[in-house]
Amino acid sequence: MSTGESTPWWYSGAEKEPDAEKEPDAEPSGGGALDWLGLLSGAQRLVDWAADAVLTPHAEHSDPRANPSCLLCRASSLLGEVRGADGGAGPGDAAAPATGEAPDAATAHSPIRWLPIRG
Amino acid sequence: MASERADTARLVAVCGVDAPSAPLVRATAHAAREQGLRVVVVIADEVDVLTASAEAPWLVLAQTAAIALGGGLPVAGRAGSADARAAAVLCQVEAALVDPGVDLVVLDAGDQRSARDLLAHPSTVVAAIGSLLGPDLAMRSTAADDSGFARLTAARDHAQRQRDLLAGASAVWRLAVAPRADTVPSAVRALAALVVLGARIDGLVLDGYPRKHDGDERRDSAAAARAVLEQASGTPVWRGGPDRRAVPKGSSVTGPVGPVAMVASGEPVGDDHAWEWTITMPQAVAALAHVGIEGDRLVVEAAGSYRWLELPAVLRRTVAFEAVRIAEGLVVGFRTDPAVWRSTAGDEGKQAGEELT
Repeated sequence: MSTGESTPWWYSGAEKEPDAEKEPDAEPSGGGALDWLGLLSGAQRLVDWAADAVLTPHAEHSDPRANPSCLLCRASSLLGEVRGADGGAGPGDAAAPATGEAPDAATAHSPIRWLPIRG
Repeated sequence: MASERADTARLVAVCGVDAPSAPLVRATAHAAREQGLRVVVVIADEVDVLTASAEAPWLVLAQTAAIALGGGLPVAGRAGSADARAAAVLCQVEAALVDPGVDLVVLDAGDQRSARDLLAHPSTVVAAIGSLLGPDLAMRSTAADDSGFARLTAARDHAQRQRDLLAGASAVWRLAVAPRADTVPSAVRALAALVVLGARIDGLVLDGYPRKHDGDERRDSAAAARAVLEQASGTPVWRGGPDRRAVPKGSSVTGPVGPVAMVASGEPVGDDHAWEWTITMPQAVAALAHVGIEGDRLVVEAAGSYRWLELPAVLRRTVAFEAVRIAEGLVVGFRTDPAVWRSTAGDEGKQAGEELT
Protein backbone atom coordinates (compact mmCIF):
# COMPACT_ATOMS: atom_id res chain seq x y z
CA MET A 1 0.00 0.00 0.00
CA SER A 2 1.31 3.36 -0.88
CA THR A 3 -0.47 5.50 1.61
CA GLY A 4 1.76 8.15 2.95
CA GLU A 5 3.81 8.46 -0.21
CA SER A 6 3.64 11.69 -2.13
CA THR A 7 3.50 9.91 -5.46
CA PRO A 8 0.73 7.38 -6.01
CA TRP A 9 1.97 3.86 -6.50
CA TRP A 10 0.27 3.62 -9.84
CA TYR A 11 2.14 6.53 -11.40
CA SER A 12 3.99 5.17 -14.41
CA GLY A 13 7.04 7.27 -13.60
CA ALA A 14 7.47 5.72 -10.19
CA GLU A 15 10.66 3.79 -9.60
CA LYS A 16 8.73 0.65 -8.85
CA GLU A 17 5.30 -0.40 -7.87
CA PRO A 18 4.51 -2.09 -4.61
CA ASP A 19 4.23 -5.84 -4.90
CA ALA A 20 5.62 -5.77 -8.42
CA GLU A 21 8.63 -7.83 -7.40
CA LYS A 22 6.80 -10.15 -5.06
CA GLU A 23 5.85 -13.66 -5.82
CA PRO A 24 2.24 -14.05 -6.89
CA ASP A 25 1.33 -15.77 -3.65
CA ALA A 26 3.05 -13.27 -1.44
CA GLU A 27 1.00 -11.47 1.17
CA PRO A 28 -0.19 -8.17 -0.35
CA SER A 29 1.27 -5.28 1.52
CA GLY A 30 -1.25 -3.69 3.80
CA GLY A 31 -3.77 -6.25 2.74
CA GLY A 32 -3.98 -8.04 6.05
CA ALA A 33 -4.97 -11.63 5.44
CA LEU A 34 -5.98 -11.11 1.83
CA ASP A 35 -5.27 -14.19 -0.18
CA TRP A 36 -4.40 -13.75 -3.84
CA LEU A 37 -6.44 -16.77 -4.86
CA GLY A 38 -9.45 -15.28 -3.20
CA LEU A 39 -8.83 -11.99 -4.92
CA LEU A 40 -8.41 -13.75 -8.23
CA SER A 41 -11.78 -15.33 -7.66
CA GLY A 42 -13.16 -11.93 -6.89
CA ALA A 43 -11.55 -10.47 -9.97
CA GLN A 44 -13.14 -13.21 -12.03
CA ARG A 45 -16.49 -12.13 -10.72
CA LEU A 46 -15.55 -8.57 -11.51
CA VAL A 47 -14.95 -9.54 -15.10
CA ASP A 48 -18.16 -11.53 -15.25
CA TRP A 49 -19.98 -8.58 -13.87
CA ALA A 50 -18.33 -6.28 -16.37
CA ALA A 51 -19.50 -8.45 -19.20
CA ASP A 52 -23.02 -8.46 -17.81
CA ALA A 53 -23.30 -4.93 -16.65
CA VAL A 54 -22.24 -3.26 -19.90
CA LEU A 55 -20.41 -0.43 -18.32
CA THR A 56 -20.73 2.78 -20.16
CA PRO A 57 -17.08 3.81 -20.19
CA HIS A 58 -16.17 0.39 -21.50
CA ALA A 59 -19.22 -0.12 -23.63
CA GLU A 60 -17.42 0.74 -26.81
CA HIS A 61 -14.54 -1.63 -26.18
CA SER A 62 -15.66 -4.49 -28.38
CA ASP A 63 -12.17 -5.95 -28.48
CA PRO A 64 -10.53 -5.95 -25.05
CA ARG A 65 -7.09 -6.47 -26.58
CA ALA A 66 -7.46 -3.15 -28.34
CA ASN A 67 -7.90 -1.30 -25.07
CA PRO A 68 -4.91 -2.14 -22.89
CA SER A 69 -5.43 0.89 -20.67
CA CYS A 70 -8.86 -0.30 -19.61
CA LEU A 71 -8.94 -2.38 -16.44
CA LEU A 72 -11.91 -4.44 -17.46
CA CYS A 73 -10.62 -5.12 -20.95
CA ARG A 74 -7.23 -6.00 -19.57
CA ALA A 75 -8.75 -8.33 -17.03
CA SER A 76 -10.96 -9.83 -19.71
CA SER A 77 -7.94 -10.50 -21.87
CA LEU A 78 -5.88 -12.00 -19.10
CA LEU A 79 -8.59 -14.17 -17.68
CA GLY A 80 -10.02 -14.93 -21.09
CA GLU A 81 -6.70 -16.42 -22.11
CA VAL A 82 -6.88 -18.67 -19.10
CA ARG A 83 -10.40 -19.69 -19.90
CA GLY A 84 -9.53 -20.17 -23.54
CA ALA A 85 -6.76 -22.54 -22.59
CA ASP A 86 -9.29 -24.45 -20.55
CA GLY A 87 -11.65 -24.70 -23.46
CA GLY A 88 -13.91 -21.91 -22.24
CA ALA A 89 -14.91 -18.69 -23.84
CA GLY A 90 -12.20 -16.44 -25.21
CA PRO A 91 -11.69 -12.82 -24.38
CA GLY A 92 -13.80 -11.66 -27.25
CA ASP A 93 -16.72 -13.65 -25.99
CA ALA A 94 -16.21 -12.40 -22.47
CA ALA A 95 -16.57 -8.82 -23.57
CA ALA A 96 -19.20 -9.26 -26.25
CA PRO A 97 -22.16 -8.12 -24.17
CA ALA A 98 -20.27 -5.00 -23.18
CA THR A 99 -20.42 -3.51 -26.64
CA GLY A 100 -22.29 -0.30 -27.17
CA GLU A 101 -24.47 -1.76 -29.85
CA ALA A 102 -28.22 -1.43 -29.80
CA PRO A 103 -29.92 -3.91 -27.50
CA ASP A 104 -31.32 -5.97 -30.33
CA ALA A 105 -27.85 -6.68 -31.60
CA ALA A 106 -26.59 -7.56 -28.15
CA THR A 107 -29.48 -9.78 -27.16
CA ALA A 108 -27.75 -12.95 -28.22
CA HIS A 109 -25.16 -12.53 -25.48
CA SER A 110 -27.02 -10.34 -23.03
CA PRO A 111 -28.77 -11.57 -19.91
CA ILE A 112 -31.17 -8.65 -20.35
CA ARG A 113 -34.62 -9.49 -21.69
CA TRP A 114 -35.60 -6.49 -23.79
CA LEU A 115 -39.26 -5.53 -23.93
CA PRO A 116 -41.28 -4.40 -26.91
CA ILE A 117 -42.13 -0.70 -26.74
CA ARG A 118 -45.32 0.80 -28.10
CA GLY A 119 -45.96 4.42 -28.88
CA MET B 1 -41.99 13.32 -12.52
CA ALA B 2 -39.55 13.58 -15.38
CA SER B 3 -38.61 16.95 -14.14
CA GLU B 4 -38.68 18.83 -10.89
CA ARG B 5 -37.45 22.07 -9.52
CA ALA B 6 -33.82 21.89 -8.55
CA ASP B 7 -32.71 22.61 -5.04
CA THR B 8 -29.98 25.17 -4.64
CA ALA B 9 -26.93 23.55 -6.15
CA ARG B 10 -23.47 23.41 -4.68
CA LEU B 11 -22.11 21.83 -7.82
CA VAL B 12 -22.82 23.11 -11.32
CA ALA B 13 -21.34 20.83 -13.95
CA VAL B 14 -21.05 21.93 -17.57
CA CYS B 15 -20.69 19.63 -20.58
CA GLY B 16 -20.06 20.79 -24.14
CA VAL B 17 -21.95 19.20 -27.01
CA ASP B 18 -20.55 20.27 -30.36
CA ALA B 19 -19.64 23.44 -28.51
CA PRO B 20 -16.92 24.33 -26.02
CA SER B 21 -17.84 24.11 -22.38
CA ALA B 22 -15.35 26.73 -21.22
CA PRO B 23 -17.36 29.89 -22.09
CA LEU B 24 -20.36 28.73 -20.09
CA VAL B 25 -18.10 27.68 -17.23
CA ARG B 26 -16.51 31.12 -17.15
CA ALA B 27 -19.87 32.87 -17.37
CA THR B 28 -21.29 30.70 -14.58
CA ALA B 29 -18.34 31.35 -12.29
CA HIS B 30 -18.49 35.06 -13.04
CA ALA B 31 -22.21 35.24 -12.34
CA ALA B 32 -21.79 33.30 -9.11
CA ARG B 33 -19.12 35.71 -7.92
CA GLU B 34 -21.40 38.60 -8.77
CA GLN B 35 -23.98 36.94 -6.54
CA GLY B 36 -21.42 37.02 -3.74
CA LEU B 37 -20.65 33.33 -3.83
CA ARG B 38 -17.20 31.97 -3.24
CA VAL B 39 -16.49 29.85 -6.28
CA VAL B 40 -13.98 27.18 -7.22
CA VAL B 41 -13.69 26.10 -10.83
CA VAL B 42 -12.49 22.57 -11.58
CA ILE B 43 -11.55 21.93 -15.19
CA ALA B 44 -11.57 18.19 -15.72
CA ASP B 45 -9.22 18.24 -18.68
CA GLU B 46 -6.61 20.10 -16.69
CA VAL B 47 -6.69 18.04 -13.53
CA ASP B 48 -3.43 16.30 -12.82
CA VAL B 49 -4.18 12.63 -12.35
CA LEU B 50 -1.38 12.47 -9.80
CA THR B 51 -3.47 14.53 -7.44
CA ALA B 52 -5.81 11.61 -6.84
CA SER B 53 -5.76 10.38 -3.29
CA ALA B 54 -4.31 6.92 -2.78
CA GLU B 55 -7.57 6.15 -1.01
CA ALA B 56 -9.70 7.12 -4.00
CA PRO B 57 -12.16 4.27 -4.53
CA TRP B 58 -10.96 3.55 -8.03
CA LEU B 59 -7.36 3.26 -6.94
CA VAL B 60 -8.28 0.93 -4.09
CA LEU B 61 -10.13 -1.21 -6.60
CA ALA B 62 -7.38 -1.05 -9.20
CA GLN B 63 -4.79 -1.98 -6.65
CA THR B 64 -6.89 -4.89 -5.47
CA ALA B 65 -7.31 -6.11 -9.02
CA ALA B 66 -3.58 -5.70 -9.65
CA ILE B 67 -2.79 -7.82 -6.62
CA ALA B 68 -5.37 -10.37 -7.65
CA LEU B 69 -3.76 -10.73 -11.04
CA GLY B 70 -0.31 -11.22 -9.68
CA GLY B 71 0.76 -7.62 -9.89
CA GLY B 72 0.24 -7.58 -13.63
CA LEU B 73 -2.53 -5.04 -13.82
CA PRO B 74 -1.37 -1.68 -12.59
CA VAL B 75 -1.94 -0.25 -16.05
CA ALA B 76 -5.54 0.58 -15.29
CA GLY B 77 -4.57 3.10 -12.71
CA ARG B 78 -2.05 4.90 -14.84
CA ALA B 79 -2.40 8.37 -16.14
CA GLY B 80 -3.89 7.33 -19.47
CA SER B 81 -6.96 5.77 -17.96
CA ALA B 82 -10.23 7.67 -18.14
CA ASP B 83 -11.09 6.27 -14.74
CA ALA B 84 -7.83 7.49 -13.25
CA ARG B 85 -8.68 10.95 -14.52
CA ALA B 86 -12.22 10.73 -13.22
CA ALA B 87 -10.88 9.65 -9.84
CA ALA B 88 -8.57 12.66 -9.73
CA VAL B 89 -11.32 15.04 -10.80
CA LEU B 90 -13.63 13.72 -8.13
CA CYS B 91 -10.92 14.14 -5.52
CA GLN B 92 -10.62 17.80 -6.45
CA VAL B 93 -14.36 18.33 -6.43
CA GLU B 94 -14.69 16.61 -3.07
CA ALA B 95 -11.92 18.70 -1.60
CA ALA B 96 -13.56 21.89 -2.82
CA LEU B 97 -16.98 20.93 -1.52
CA VAL B 98 -15.77 20.21 1.99
CA ASP B 99 -13.94 23.53 2.11
CA PRO B 100 -16.02 25.84 4.32
CA GLY B 101 -14.71 28.75 2.30
CA VAL B 102 -16.33 27.52 -0.90
CA ASP B 103 -20.00 28.09 -1.70
CA LEU B 104 -20.14 26.70 -5.21
CA VAL B 105 -18.05 24.40 -7.35
CA VAL B 106 -18.29 24.88 -11.10
CA LEU B 107 -17.09 21.78 -12.88
CA ASP B 108 -16.02 21.92 -16.49
CA ALA B 109 -16.71 18.31 -17.40
CA GLY B 110 -15.47 18.74 -20.95
CA ASP B 111 -17.13 17.08 -23.87
CA GLN B 112 -19.87 14.50 -23.82
CA ARG B 113 -17.49 11.57 -23.66
CA SER B 114 -15.61 13.00 -20.70
CA ALA B 115 -18.83 13.83 -18.91
CA ARG B 116 -20.12 10.31 -19.44
CA ASP B 117 -16.88 8.85 -18.11
CA LEU B 118 -17.10 11.07 -15.09
CA LEU B 119 -20.74 10.35 -14.32
CA ALA B 120 -20.38 6.62 -14.84
CA HIS B 121 -17.20 6.33 -12.83
CA PRO B 122 -18.62 6.14 -9.29
CA SER B 123 -21.34 3.70 -10.28
CA THR B 124 -18.76 1.59 -12.05
CA VAL B 125 -16.63 1.45 -8.94
CA VAL B 126 -19.60 0.74 -6.67
CA ALA B 127 -20.72 -2.17 -8.82
CA ALA B 128 -17.22 -3.52 -9.32
CA ILE B 129 -16.42 -3.47 -5.63
CA GLY B 130 -19.82 -4.90 -4.87
CA SER B 131 -18.96 -7.85 -7.06
CA LEU B 132 -15.75 -8.39 -5.13
CA LEU B 133 -17.25 -8.09 -1.68
CA GLY B 134 -18.59 -11.45 -0.70
CA PRO B 135 -18.18 -14.33 1.65
CA ASP B 136 -14.96 -15.51 0.02
CA LEU B 137 -13.22 -12.22 0.57
CA ALA B 138 -14.72 -11.82 4.02
CA MET B 139 -13.42 -15.22 5.07
CA ARG B 140 -9.94 -14.32 3.90
CA SER B 141 -9.83 -10.93 5.54
CA THR B 142 -9.12 -10.06 9.09
CA ALA B 143 -11.37 -7.86 11.18
CA ALA B 144 -8.76 -5.11 11.15
CA ASP B 145 -9.72 -1.73 9.76
CA ASP B 146 -6.98 -1.99 7.13
CA SER B 147 -7.98 -5.42 5.89
CA GLY B 148 -8.87 -5.85 2.26
CA PHE B 149 -12.54 -6.34 3.01
CA ALA B 150 -12.69 -3.26 5.20
CA ARG B 151 -10.80 -1.14 2.68
CA LEU B 152 -12.99 -2.24 -0.20
CA THR B 153 -16.11 -1.67 1.86
CA ALA B 154 -14.96 1.82 2.72
CA ALA B 155 -14.05 2.44 -0.91
CA ARG B 156 -17.49 1.33 -2.06
CA ASP B 157 -19.17 3.63 0.45
CA HIS B 158 -16.89 6.43 -0.67
CA ALA B 159 -17.80 5.81 -4.30
CA GLN B 160 -21.49 5.93 -3.40
CA ARG B 161 -20.94 9.34 -1.88
CA GLN B 162 -19.14 10.41 -5.05
CA ARG B 163 -22.12 9.23 -7.08
CA ASP B 164 -24.43 11.35 -4.95
CA LEU B 165 -22.06 14.25 -5.32
CA LEU B 166 -22.45 14.21 -9.11
CA ALA B 167 -26.04 13.06 -9.38
CA GLY B 168 -27.63 14.07 -6.09
CA ALA B 169 -29.99 16.90 -5.29
CA SER B 170 -27.18 19.41 -4.76
CA ALA B 171 -25.75 19.02 -8.25
CA VAL B 172 -27.08 20.25 -11.57
CA TRP B 173 -25.71 19.76 -15.05
CA ARG B 174 -25.94 22.17 -17.95
CA LEU B 175 -25.16 21.44 -21.56
CA ALA B 176 -23.53 23.95 -23.83
CA VAL B 177 -24.95 23.17 -27.26
CA ALA B 178 -24.08 24.54 -30.67
CA PRO B 179 -27.02 26.67 -31.88
CA ARG B 180 -27.59 24.85 -35.14
CA ALA B 181 -30.39 22.60 -36.31
CA ASP B 182 -27.95 19.93 -37.45
CA THR B 183 -26.59 19.50 -33.93
CA VAL B 184 -29.95 18.76 -32.36
CA PRO B 185 -29.59 14.97 -32.69
CA SER B 186 -26.24 14.96 -30.92
CA ALA B 187 -27.59 17.28 -28.24
CA VAL B 188 -30.53 14.97 -27.67
CA ARG B 189 -28.27 11.94 -27.49
CA ALA B 190 -25.99 13.68 -25.02
CA LEU B 191 -28.96 14.66 -22.90
CA ALA B 192 -30.25 11.09 -22.96
CA ALA B 193 -26.89 9.55 -22.17
CA LEU B 194 -26.26 11.84 -19.23
CA VAL B 195 -29.70 11.65 -17.62
CA VAL B 196 -29.69 7.88 -17.87
CA LEU B 197 -26.41 7.96 -15.99
CA GLY B 198 -28.06 10.01 -13.28
CA ALA B 199 -27.37 13.61 -14.26
CA ARG B 200 -29.99 16.17 -13.34
CA ILE B 201 -29.90 18.64 -16.22
CA ASP B 202 -31.51 21.98 -15.53
CA GLY B 203 -30.72 23.72 -18.77
CA LEU B 204 -29.42 23.64 -22.30
CA VAL B 205 -27.46 26.69 -23.32
CA LEU B 206 -27.20 27.50 -27.00
CA ASP B 207 -23.65 28.74 -26.97
CA GLY B 208 -22.85 31.51 -29.42
CA TYR B 209 -26.47 32.12 -30.32
CA PRO B 210 -26.45 34.26 -33.49
CA ARG B 211 -27.36 37.91 -33.38
CA LYS B 212 -29.11 39.98 -36.02
CA HIS B 213 -25.96 40.74 -37.95
CA ASP B 214 -25.20 37.02 -38.31
CA GLY B 215 -27.83 36.63 -41.00
CA ASP B 216 -31.22 35.02 -41.32
CA GLU B 217 -29.94 31.58 -42.22
CA ARG B 218 -27.96 31.16 -39.03
CA ARG B 219 -30.70 32.68 -36.95
CA ASP B 220 -33.34 30.43 -38.49
CA SER B 221 -31.20 27.38 -37.84
CA ALA B 222 -30.66 28.43 -34.24
CA ALA B 223 -34.34 29.14 -33.74
CA ALA B 224 -35.25 25.73 -35.12
CA ALA B 225 -32.78 24.05 -32.79
CA ARG B 226 -34.15 25.96 -29.85
CA ALA B 227 -37.74 25.07 -30.68
CA VAL B 228 -37.02 21.36 -30.96
CA LEU B 229 -34.97 21.24 -27.80
CA GLU B 230 -37.53 23.21 -25.82
CA GLN B 231 -40.19 20.78 -26.93
CA ALA B 232 -38.34 17.57 -26.20
CA SER B 233 -35.65 18.13 -23.60
CA GLY B 234 -37.88 18.70 -20.59
CA THR B 235 -35.68 21.51 -19.33
CA PRO B 236 -35.18 25.20 -20.14
CA VAL B 237 -33.21 26.25 -23.20
CA TRP B 238 -31.62 29.65 -23.34
CA ARG B 239 -29.21 31.71 -25.38
CA GLY B 240 -25.58 31.80 -24.42
CA GLY B 241 -22.36 33.23 -25.71
CA PRO B 242 -20.21 36.33 -25.28
CA ASP B 243 -21.90 39.06 -23.27
CA ARG B 244 -24.86 36.87 -22.51
CA ARG B 245 -25.97 35.80 -19.07
CA ALA B 246 -24.96 32.43 -17.65
CA VAL B 247 -28.59 31.83 -16.70
CA PRO B 248 -31.84 33.45 -17.80
CA LYS B 249 -32.67 36.83 -16.35
CA GLY B 250 -34.01 36.58 -12.84
CA SER B 251 -32.50 33.14 -12.18
CA SER B 252 -29.68 32.23 -9.86
CA VAL B 253 -26.68 30.30 -11.11
CA THR B 254 -27.30 27.85 -8.29
CA GLY B 255 -30.84 27.26 -9.46
CA PRO B 256 -33.62 26.72 -9.73
CA VAL B 257 -33.41 27.75 -13.35
CA GLY B 258 -36.36 25.58 -14.24
CA PRO B 259 -37.54 21.99 -14.55
CA VAL B 260 -34.81 19.39 -14.33
CA ALA B 261 -34.44 16.71 -16.97
CA MET B 262 -33.84 13.43 -15.22
CA VAL B 263 -34.84 9.79 -15.01
CA ALA B 264 -36.97 8.86 -12.03
CA SER B 265 -39.35 6.12 -10.99
CA GLY B 266 -42.57 6.27 -9.02
CA GLU B 267 -44.62 3.69 -7.20
CA PRO B 268 -46.14 0.85 -9.22
CA VAL B 269 -49.91 0.86 -9.49
CA GLY B 270 -52.17 -2.08 -10.19
CA ASP B 271 -54.19 -4.89 -8.72
CA ASP B 272 -53.64 -8.57 -8.12
CA HIS B 273 -53.18 -9.32 -11.79
CA ALA B 274 -51.39 -6.46 -13.50
CA TRP B 275 -49.24 -3.52 -12.60
CA GLU B 276 -47.82 -0.50 -14.32
CA TRP B 277 -44.58 1.14 -13.35
CA THR B 278 -43.95 4.60 -14.74
CA ILE B 279 -40.39 5.65 -15.40
CA THR B 280 -40.42 9.37 -16.01
CA MET B 281 -37.97 10.97 -18.38
CA PRO B 282 -37.96 13.68 -21.03
CA GLN B 283 -39.68 12.86 -24.29
CA ALA B 284 -36.41 13.00 -26.15
CA VAL B 285 -34.96 10.34 -23.87
CA ALA B 286 -38.04 8.13 -24.05
CA ALA B 287 -37.85 8.26 -27.83
CA LEU B 288 -34.37 6.76 -27.73
CA ALA B 289 -34.86 4.41 -24.81
CA HIS B 290 -34.95 0.64 -24.69
CA VAL B 291 -36.25 -1.14 -21.63
CA GLY B 292 -35.46 -4.61 -20.40
CA ILE B 293 -35.43 -6.87 -17.39
CA GLU B 294 -32.37 -8.41 -15.84
CA GLY B 295 -33.19 -10.45 -12.77
CA ASP B 296 -34.85 -8.18 -10.26
CA ARG B 297 -33.85 -5.01 -12.07
CA LEU B 298 -35.31 -2.91 -14.81
CA VAL B 299 -32.74 -1.80 -17.35
CA VAL B 300 -33.12 1.47 -19.20
CA GLU B 301 -30.79 2.10 -22.13
CA ALA B 302 -30.56 5.25 -24.15
CA ALA B 303 -27.79 6.60 -26.35
CA GLY B 304 -25.38 3.97 -25.13
CA SER B 305 -25.88 4.57 -21.42
CA TYR B 306 -27.51 2.14 -19.07
CA ARG B 307 -29.41 2.54 -15.83
CA TRP B 308 -30.47 -0.26 -13.51
CA LEU B 309 -33.52 0.27 -11.32
CA GLU B 310 -34.33 -2.19 -8.58
CA LEU B 311 -37.81 -3.58 -9.04
CA PRO B 312 -40.17 -2.68 -6.19
CA ALA B 313 -41.08 -5.67 -4.04
CA VAL B 314 -44.57 -5.94 -5.52
CA LEU B 315 -43.09 -6.51 -8.97
CA ARG B 316 -40.57 -9.17 -7.99
CA ARG B 317 -42.88 -12.09 -8.80
CA THR B 318 -44.28 -10.69 -12.00
CA VAL B 319 -43.38 -10.76 -15.64
CA ALA B 320 -42.77 -7.56 -17.58
CA PHE B 321 -44.32 -7.82 -21.01
CA GLU B 322 -44.13 -4.42 -22.67
CA ALA B 323 -43.45 -0.73 -22.30
CA VAL B 324 -45.49 2.16 -23.64
CA ARG B 325 -44.21 5.64 -24.41
CA ILE B 326 -46.27 8.40 -22.86
CA ALA B 327 -45.74 12.13 -22.57
CA GLU B 328 -44.03 11.74 -19.20
CA GLY B 329 -41.74 8.89 -20.18
CA LEU B 330 -42.35 5.15 -20.24
CA VAL B 331 -44.91 2.91 -18.59
CA VAL B 332 -43.77 -0.65 -18.13
CA GLY B 333 -46.48 -3.28 -17.87
CA PHE B 334 -46.22 -6.29 -15.57
CA ARG B 335 -48.52 -9.21 -14.96
CA THR B 336 -48.48 -12.12 -12.59
CA ASP B 337 -45.92 -14.79 -13.22
CA PRO B 338 -47.89 -18.01 -13.73
CA ALA B 339 -44.87 -19.95 -12.54
CA VAL B 340 -45.13 -18.53 -9.03
CA TRP B 341 -48.73 -17.26 -8.77
CA ARG B 342 -51.82 -19.44 -8.80
CA SER B 343 -54.43 -17.94 -11.07
CA THR B 344 -57.67 -16.77 -9.54
CA ALA B 345 -59.58 -18.75 -12.10
CA GLY B 346 -57.69 -21.84 -11.13
CA ASP B 347 -58.37 -21.23 -7.48
CA GLU B 348 -62.07 -20.78 -8.11
CA GLY B 349 -62.21 -23.90 -10.19
CA LYS B 350 -60.40 -25.82 -7.54
CA GLN B 351 -62.77 -24.57 -4.85
CA ALA B 352 -65.78 -25.45 -6.99
CA GLY B 353 -64.39 -28.89 -7.52
CA GLU B 354 -63.85 -29.32 -3.81
CA GLU B 355 -67.43 -28.28 -3.12
CA LEU B 356 -68.80 -30.81 -5.63
CA THR B 357 -66.90 -33.60 -4.05
